[in-house]
Amino acid sequence: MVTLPIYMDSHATTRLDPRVLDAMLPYLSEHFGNPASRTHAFGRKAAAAVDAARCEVAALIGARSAEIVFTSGATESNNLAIKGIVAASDLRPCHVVTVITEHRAVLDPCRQLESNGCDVTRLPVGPDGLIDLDELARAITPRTVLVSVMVANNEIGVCQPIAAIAEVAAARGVMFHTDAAQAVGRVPVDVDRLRVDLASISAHKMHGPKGVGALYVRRQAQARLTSIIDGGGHEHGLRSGTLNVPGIVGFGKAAALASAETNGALSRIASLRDRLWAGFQTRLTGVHLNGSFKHRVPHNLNVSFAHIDGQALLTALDDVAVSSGSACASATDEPSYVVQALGASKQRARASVRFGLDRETTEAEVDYVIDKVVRVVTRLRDLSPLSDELSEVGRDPVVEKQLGGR
Amino acid sequence: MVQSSQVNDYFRHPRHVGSIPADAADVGTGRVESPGHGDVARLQVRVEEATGVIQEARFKAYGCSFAIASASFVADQVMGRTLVSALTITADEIGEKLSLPATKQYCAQLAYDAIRAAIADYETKRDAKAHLTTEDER
Ligand SMILES: Cc1ncc(COP(=O)(O)O)c(C=O)c1O
Repeated sequence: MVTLPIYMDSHATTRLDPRVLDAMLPYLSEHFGNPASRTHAFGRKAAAAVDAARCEVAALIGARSAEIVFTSGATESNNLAIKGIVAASDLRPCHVVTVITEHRAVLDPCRQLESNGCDVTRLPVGPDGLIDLDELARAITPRTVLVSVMVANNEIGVCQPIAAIAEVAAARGVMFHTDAAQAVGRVPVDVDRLRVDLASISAHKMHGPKGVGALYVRRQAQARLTSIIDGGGHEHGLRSGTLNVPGIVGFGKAAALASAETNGALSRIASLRDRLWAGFQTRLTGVHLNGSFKHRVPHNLNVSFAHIDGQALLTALDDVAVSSGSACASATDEPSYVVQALGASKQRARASVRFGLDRETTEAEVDYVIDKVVRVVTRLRDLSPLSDELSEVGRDPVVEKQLGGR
Repeated sequence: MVQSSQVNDYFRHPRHVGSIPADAADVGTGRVESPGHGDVARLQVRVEEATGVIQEARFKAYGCSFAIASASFVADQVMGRTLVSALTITADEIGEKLSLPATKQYCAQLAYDAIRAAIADYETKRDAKAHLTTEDER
């Protein structure tokens, strides 16, 4: 049996693991010291907990603990990386290369730099959601100071070829930042193997608390980064402000749990996701996968259900929590820019629905979601004039090819 | 986005869903699309010629829950009304009755446009027929 409502929106956030909460609680009560107060026991207790958490977070991504800068989350980490690298550079105007499908927490800081005279190139993606490495190499100029490309996309789950991108950037002496918020803790990420210089991480995407995250800064890169929040010189002077000790302790615990449990859960999560996709494909026509199937995190499925609007689907699916690229489902007035970047029509973008599984998802939940989605899609299609007008539902040849090539 | 209980009701329990043969002489079909948003509403009315009363209304709609509810609402509203009376329904009235948020007022406009288009289609057919009949008599 399943408990309703079902949560299948793990890209937005994940449930705080009860073991994480247990680890945090003492630091919200008796262990209240300020880790900067190393002169007394209260401060030392807090500092020791922060040090331990720093080690756990570093271990999760194969980094050294001195390379972890705690922040308020991946948004701040992205801002620090992007604005901080640009601020530290002497080149003017300098140039940043990113991708049109990045999270707003990358695109908005880039837009702000642009309004201050920085040049920004936003690389396009193919129908599979992947960038072209030759295009990346061509985009880099002598004034390029940073390449920023995410590990896994927050909407379509597509994973960019990070190691290859890092190699292109390194060959040109350009710093490489990756927004790894949707990947770290859920798929293996090793900063040395990938050769990234900076990586943004968020605790709440890995069953940790909200409002805490980190920026990984490779040791050699620290001199090429300027702080954006000043006042006290915490975190190697890269991020001032009294540390969020309970949050950091929870982040550390979440990282430790992810280190211990992620690899074991990967194939189970992938097979549940595949079961979901197979369920839609066998029971419905007009289902389009958005982005590559192969280059995708195991917990993501992003599907457009032809002839219906995502917001209507979400509203009708009352006891299943998922999200949609429909403009009506969010505060924007454009349907998903990520799905449109794949070359999809606005109609297909607004029909997109994102399913986010996590290590707590069960087979019974997946089966419930399949049944419910099939029923709701069928009902909404009966209501849709487009279903009559386009009775022959065209399958996307690109998607077909990707599926065949799995 | 907050959805009123009226929208919720018309979206979850839509009345008068479906189609009637569009080529029938007593049927008017309006298919309208919301510019910029892409929502589509199709409203069909079957009219008794002698009285001008809408005897049957059917709708289909593509779009968000607010668009579907608005189309469902007008199908309900025009049933049993004369054409003249149906044409007095305004977009503002639809928005008010459904308590649509300001950003969803375009859904009311879509439903309003559908009524106008359906009635115009019926009237065009009716007048063409009348024209043919007068020509035959000549
Ligand atoms: C790819 C990506 N980057 C950044 C963020 C922002 O993370 P945070 O909520 O920790 O600021 C998110 C989460 O929404 C994300 O998915």
